[in-house]
Amino acid sequence: MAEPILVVDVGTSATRVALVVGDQSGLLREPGTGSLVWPSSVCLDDGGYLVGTAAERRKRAIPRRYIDGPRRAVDAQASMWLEGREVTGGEALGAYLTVVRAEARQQFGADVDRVTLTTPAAYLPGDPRGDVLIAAGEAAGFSDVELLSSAVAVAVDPETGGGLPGGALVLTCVLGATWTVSLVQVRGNHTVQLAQETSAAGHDLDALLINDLRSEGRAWLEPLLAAPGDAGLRAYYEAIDFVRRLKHQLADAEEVADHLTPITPPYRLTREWLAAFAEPVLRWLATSCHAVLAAAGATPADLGAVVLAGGGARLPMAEPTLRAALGHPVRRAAEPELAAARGAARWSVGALSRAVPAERPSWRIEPVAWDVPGGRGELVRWLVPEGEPYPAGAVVARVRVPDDRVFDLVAPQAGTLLAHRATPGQQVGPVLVASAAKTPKALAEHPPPLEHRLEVAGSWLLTPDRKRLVECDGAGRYVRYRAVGDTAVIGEFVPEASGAAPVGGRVFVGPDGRLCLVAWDSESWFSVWDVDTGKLVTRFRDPAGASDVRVNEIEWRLATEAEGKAVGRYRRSTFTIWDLRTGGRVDKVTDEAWIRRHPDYSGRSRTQGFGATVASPDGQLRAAMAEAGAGSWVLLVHDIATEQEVFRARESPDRRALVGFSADGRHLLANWESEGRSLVDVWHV
Amino acid sequence: MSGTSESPPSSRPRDTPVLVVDFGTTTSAATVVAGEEAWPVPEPVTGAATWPSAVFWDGQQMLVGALAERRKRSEPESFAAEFKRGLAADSSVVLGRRRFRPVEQVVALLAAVRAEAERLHGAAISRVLITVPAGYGPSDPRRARMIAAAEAAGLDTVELLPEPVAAAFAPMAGPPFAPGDLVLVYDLGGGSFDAALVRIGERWHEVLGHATLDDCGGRDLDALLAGRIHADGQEWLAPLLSSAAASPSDPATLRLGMAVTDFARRLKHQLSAAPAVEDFFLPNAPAYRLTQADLRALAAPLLGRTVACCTDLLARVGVPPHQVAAILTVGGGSRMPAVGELLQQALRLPLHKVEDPDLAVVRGAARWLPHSGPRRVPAATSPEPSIPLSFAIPGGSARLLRWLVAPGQAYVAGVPLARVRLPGGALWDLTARVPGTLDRLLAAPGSEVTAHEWLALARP
Repeated sequence: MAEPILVVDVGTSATRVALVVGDQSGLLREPGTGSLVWPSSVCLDDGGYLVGTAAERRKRAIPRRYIDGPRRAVDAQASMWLEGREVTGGEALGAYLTVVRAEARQQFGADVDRVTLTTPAAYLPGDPRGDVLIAAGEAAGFSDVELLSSAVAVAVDPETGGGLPGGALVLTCVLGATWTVSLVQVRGNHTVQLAQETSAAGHDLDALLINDLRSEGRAWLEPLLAAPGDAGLRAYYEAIDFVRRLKHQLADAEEVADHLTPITPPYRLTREWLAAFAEPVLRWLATSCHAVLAAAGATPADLGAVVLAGGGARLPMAEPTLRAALGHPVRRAAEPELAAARGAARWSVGALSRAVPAERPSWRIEPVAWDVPGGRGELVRWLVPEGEPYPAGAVVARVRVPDDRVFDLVAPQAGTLLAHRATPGQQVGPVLVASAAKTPKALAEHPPPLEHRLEVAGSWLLTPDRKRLVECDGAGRYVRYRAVGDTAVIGEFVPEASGAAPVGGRVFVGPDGRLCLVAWDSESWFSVWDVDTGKLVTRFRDPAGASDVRVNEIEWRLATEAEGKAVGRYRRSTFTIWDLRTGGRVDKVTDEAWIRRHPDYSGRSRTQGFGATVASPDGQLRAAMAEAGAGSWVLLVHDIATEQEVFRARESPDRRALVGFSADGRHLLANWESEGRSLVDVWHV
Repeated sequence: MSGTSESPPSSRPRDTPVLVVDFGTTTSAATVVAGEEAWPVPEPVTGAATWPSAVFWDGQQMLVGALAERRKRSEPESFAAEFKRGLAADSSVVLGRRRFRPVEQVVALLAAVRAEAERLHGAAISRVLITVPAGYGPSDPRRARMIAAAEAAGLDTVELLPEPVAAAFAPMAGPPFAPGDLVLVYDLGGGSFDAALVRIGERWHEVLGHATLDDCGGRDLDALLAGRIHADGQEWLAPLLSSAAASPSDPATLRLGMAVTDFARRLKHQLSAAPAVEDFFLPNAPAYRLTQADLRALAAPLLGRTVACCTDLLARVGVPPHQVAAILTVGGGSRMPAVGELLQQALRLPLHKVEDPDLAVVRGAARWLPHSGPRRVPAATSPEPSIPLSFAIPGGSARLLRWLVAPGQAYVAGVPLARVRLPGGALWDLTARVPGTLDRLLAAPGSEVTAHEWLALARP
């Protein structure tokens, strides 16, 4: 069973919690109120920390030991004072998460050891405040703490993130106590935040409302606030809750009125007034959207979606402001304050997919490992340089252990050192490793794994940069690009049909290294296509038809061979030479020795990456194809330094065989060509 | 330097010569060890077993040892000794018209010792073992400075050994210490006094505690004795002084003072073998008589402090004296019979002496070397191939949180082997591509790891 993951979206004043088990996720309700929104508040009672609703209930009794949310202290990297006691944000947050974890255990029935915490978008990678959140999670008993930017979480919220192609840009506007505008590029597990802007706008709006309340109710509120001792502070907290409540009520009413206490006069707030109060912060929102786009070098037209989230998304003027500023429809979930938690839960559902498989080790390299005496030491120096051979018993490196004895690290067998994997002066241990070349004998005993075998009724070409394999249908109906390593198709070109039946087609390397498809049809029309752009370069007709087609890649000319009239006992071939740039006819000759006289004309690309003999990019291996008689070809790979054979493979193609290395030297490729079909073998070396 | 081609270290590793140096505050001693054999490296000018730890800048080159001592009388301002003390601060001093760091002075002495050792041994020497006080802790900068100085002196492989550990390996009369014994090493040197409690082992002695008195060396006793000679010989010394020079700062006064100190040292050395001595400062001066009792009385306060230092050390380490198997006395100062008597009175423990207490540390280090185990670590070999595990970590780097599979544990394809946290906070699992058994871990939890780095070795 997959490990359960708790998701905690720690907001400045409100927190949301979700539990993910396997591919199922659900939001957890706060035990005190049954609400999906948990107050972020913390109260330090004599018995310890109270959090959430429990803290809200105690705040009237001990207002000086109450704080509405510890994350603000983490954001500011400051301490809080709870009646004379200094408490760090991390410590209070740890206490908060401990309670959340215990509640999750209560509801789930087992311990949850992994947590995903959302972070404000302003915490960029390397921010020490991220470490504070991790430490708080670990202090609460979680063994694995994952952080996720709330901007990324909102962008992947399943309620608003649907229908976006991979790589889409999403502008997220999260309006909580702080307002954040971020640009996120959505790409599954590699979703990243590109730019962000943050302000205390939500807080500022509440402050404006409280100031209005204070000026409206000067006569009755000021005496309450000025009351000595805890009473004044109590009144202040109640006034904040009061204006927030009114603000929220305006989401679905034009006008609201309420009493702070049963004996005070009513206070009235209309949507119009709220709009006036919110005007400066909404102006900030519109400006920031453009600033964030500009910072990432994007424009509103590039956006895949604009998502509005956070409790402030309920402000009636927020959505129209954004739409007007960006000219883009705005997505808003029904419960925008839950967006980050839902998105983080969705992210956590994908935890199993965030896995990197081990790389396939190189066929030719083996590690040489030494156990450092005592488990720890300082690398003094390497005595064998990289790339150098060493004899059996050679001292390869020297390490100094903490008691200042110096040990020689000795190679029991001869070899070649390929790479040092530590630098002198570096602390090493318990194991020091180096990369060594396998001996030719070991290589011969363990041949490289054949990773792929590809077949086409046509031909293969390895691009001159040796990064792509090109597959060409024998009749020139399509051309496909494949990556050399995993042979995945990375592009395809299908030329427009001409009407006549396609007869033949091959890919050649044209001027400036551009790949061109030369195809001909049953009506003797020749077409030259630029494979990358898909453009028809030229088209010409050879009325004589062609029994054979050859291309000179240097002069970029084509020769068609037509069987001429019989002269005596001989049948003389006629060659027509065409300019592939213009499609013009250059020459026409009848000469049975023409092919011998013009070796630059070839039926297969000469400038491609496949050849009869090739060296690996690091210059250590040489691969060659040799004809072994009876239609059989042998691929031989030699270690250049020792001239020893390290690998061989044999096939019996009808026509010929070629070999190539990929540009990174990781793959060896053989092309076995027969009449009408062509094979490519890919070995991982 | 022809060096390496003559004796490649890999071809005959056992015969690689190693220079062993006891680098003392006032005197040093050296030995060359090759295999089980050892040859002392005496001071080339005097032929003495020890080298004065002294340097003299003659304006062109640094003279060391006895050559430096000889020139100190003519130009005291170009002479330096006891520079080992300066390694801690490593602030430069003026010799003649140039400034030298203490490290440079150490380099000069070590280079001279190395050259003499190579001359005697007839081959290049590139490996050295230097003894250092037990007070040079694991991260003490003086360790690194001593290593750097030896490297600058052309010794490319430098090992350090605590002096009391070396001393306890010194060959001695009587039965050797048994493994597990606690031994109090009492080292009264020329410049300082060091006490250390060591637990004896086969190849290594563990230092349980140590203490140092920087102003309690043989030199301090010489100064006391010289003072007494000045007082006793007032009637014949005063006319000498007044006729030699007009003022107390005159070089002649300084020279006479140095001569009195040398006379005092000569008397002291004679008393370690005889109960009373009579000697003459000048051929025409009256005989000066000194008995062991006189010397004992003179040295009593100083030796009392060294004994108190030992008892304090035992109390600090929490070892009652009866648990200590023996006291080992080393250093030139321990030749004084009074040392043994005082220690007997205070601690009532068996006393072990070595033949040449000044050479105990260098001889012990030389003896430790062949017994300290081979310095060769062969690479791990196995009939099965070793497969390095590396991963294309997204973004290029991450922090390794923990290993999810332990070394020796088998795993199947697809199993998470380790968990990392990317710089942005996301957790990723590193999984197995093919089944195998985890063999050795190359990266520790908490460390920063990079894409394609080998994090562990596995077996198929």
